[in-house]
Amino acid sequence: MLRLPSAERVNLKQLADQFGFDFHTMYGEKYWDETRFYQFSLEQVEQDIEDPTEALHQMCLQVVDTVVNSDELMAKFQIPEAFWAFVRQSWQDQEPSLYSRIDLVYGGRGPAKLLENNADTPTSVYETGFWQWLWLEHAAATGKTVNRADQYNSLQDKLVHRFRELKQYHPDKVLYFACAKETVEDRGTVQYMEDCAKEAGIETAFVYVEDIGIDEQGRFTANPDSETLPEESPVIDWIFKLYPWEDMMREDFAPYLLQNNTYWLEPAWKSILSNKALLPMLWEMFPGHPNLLEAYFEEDAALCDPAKTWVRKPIFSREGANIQIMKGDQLIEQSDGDYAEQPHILQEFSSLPKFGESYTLIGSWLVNDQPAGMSIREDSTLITKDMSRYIPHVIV
Amino acid sequence: MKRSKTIQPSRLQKRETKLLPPGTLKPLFVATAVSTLALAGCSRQMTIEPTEVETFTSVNDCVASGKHTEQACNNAYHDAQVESQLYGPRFTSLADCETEFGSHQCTRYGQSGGGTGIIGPLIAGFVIAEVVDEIGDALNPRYRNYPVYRHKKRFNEDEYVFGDGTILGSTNRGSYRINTSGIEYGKAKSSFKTKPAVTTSVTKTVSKGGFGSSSSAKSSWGSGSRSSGWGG
Repeated sequence: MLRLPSAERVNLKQLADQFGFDFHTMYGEKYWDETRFYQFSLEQVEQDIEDPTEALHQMCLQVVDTVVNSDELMAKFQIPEAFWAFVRQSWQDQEPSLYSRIDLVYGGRGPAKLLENNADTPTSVYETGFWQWLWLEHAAATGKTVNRADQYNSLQDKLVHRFRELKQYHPDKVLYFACAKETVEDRGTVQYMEDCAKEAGIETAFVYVEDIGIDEQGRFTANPDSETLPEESPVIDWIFKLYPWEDMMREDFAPYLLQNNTYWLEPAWKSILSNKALLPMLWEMFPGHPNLLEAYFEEDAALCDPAKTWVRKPIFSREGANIQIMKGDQLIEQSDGDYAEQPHILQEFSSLPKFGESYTLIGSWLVNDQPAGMSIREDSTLITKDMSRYIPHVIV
Repeated sequence: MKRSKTIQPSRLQKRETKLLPPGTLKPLFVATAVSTLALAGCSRQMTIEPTEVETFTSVNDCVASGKHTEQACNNAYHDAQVESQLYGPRFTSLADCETEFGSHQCTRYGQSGGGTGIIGPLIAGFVIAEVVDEIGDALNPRYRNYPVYRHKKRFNEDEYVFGDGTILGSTNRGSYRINTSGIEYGKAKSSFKTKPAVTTSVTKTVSKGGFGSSSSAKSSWGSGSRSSGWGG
């Protein structure tokens, strides 16, 4: 696995503007970074990333099946009790899933290790499915990479295909797309998902999460971004959300989720996987598996070998918030955030590989249960965050 | 190949290309038979002029015309196939399709290999149309590739039509002048469309804002909007 220097396209900003990629720079700092790219062999991609991704996903599904059948585990996974039946029904009905991204520690030699599963609201889907694909088209055309360079990235093809499949379940419905207000990145990501659904022939519409309303029957409605409540709003039957289940289950409209017949992407059972309690559960069910890191619930901290370094993570944190890396009593690294008050898990520390001055994290995508592509992030610290740069890759 | 095969970048374009300041681009001289163009530096608003196009029945046909590179011809052929599968005229029965397009002119796009399983006409050819509706296009020519179908007319000669039903012209002619901005790229015209209409119920909203409160609570650092979001 090599990291090679490259040159930014002269018209990069113009291209980004043309394609509406408005978050290529965030808070004034570069996010999409094509001054370098990673190079893999096909064997590395297939044997070290793709195959383990498929296997890990299957193991995760087994975890879901185990958890839904146990009240004790549902509680441990912090699913509010009012939602146990809702989540169980979603699993029993085999409600279809669209996508997820698992994060792996990998530096060119296997086995890759699972850090976590972003099964509910994975981000960087646009950068992965389209933007790095376009980068390769241009890079190959201008000789920046070896001729016939490929990329592990059929994400857009698979998303569109999956949307076509999902359309069969809802042939006459509008699919709504929702995200929270005031986030350029989320709006861009959701726009891309909407574009993919449109390619599949689905009729789509957008609504902000905050503008979702209810009618007298408790059905969800789509409303414009304004103060007044309209007399006539469309009912939302089918909706994709870039917003976490764990928040929705605790917010004011949570009870309506239980009452009405709205179909959600991602489905509710995915909330069991997008939850770091998954990690100690996997270790318990598949101890010693080569692609897993040792992990325990904090209440079982006595099982952690004090000679090893451990990472303490809140169950629901995201974007690398509130992580603590500890060896015995010594704090090696930590990050800020709002999730400190939650229950925590402990995971064995496995250092991200260092390339130059940066630590590198592999994101491995699935559409439904099929491996679909790879994204790469770099950070100057061991904890990958929202601002970590996105780097493209090739297969040679 | 491990990467996506059916991406057409033009379909993900969100904004028109802006003209860079003079001097930052090599001047380009674009020679076409019919389009009136404004060259770099001209600030006049352009009207949309019709463009001359040819239909090509195959990649070889396209290359032999000498008007486009082999790459452009291959791309156009590929784009036309994809476009046809996604947005071509579709029918619930072969008989209905053949009534419009003639016997043996229809197919079920196969489900294996990623096809949609829909019944539609075979592609009769494809068109590469230069899109000229902006000053910037003089410097960076844009092309759209369309499939065309051969539509049977009962008392007249057959005509080529686009996927949305727009008529290109009689199949007897070699080239055509059309206004490509009139074609609904990616939309099947209702006279050919037979898929069920989308149904939406409408109701009175009694309350909103019951989701999303966590987001306002967590935007505590920094004033104004944060670019980062709710994903992980």
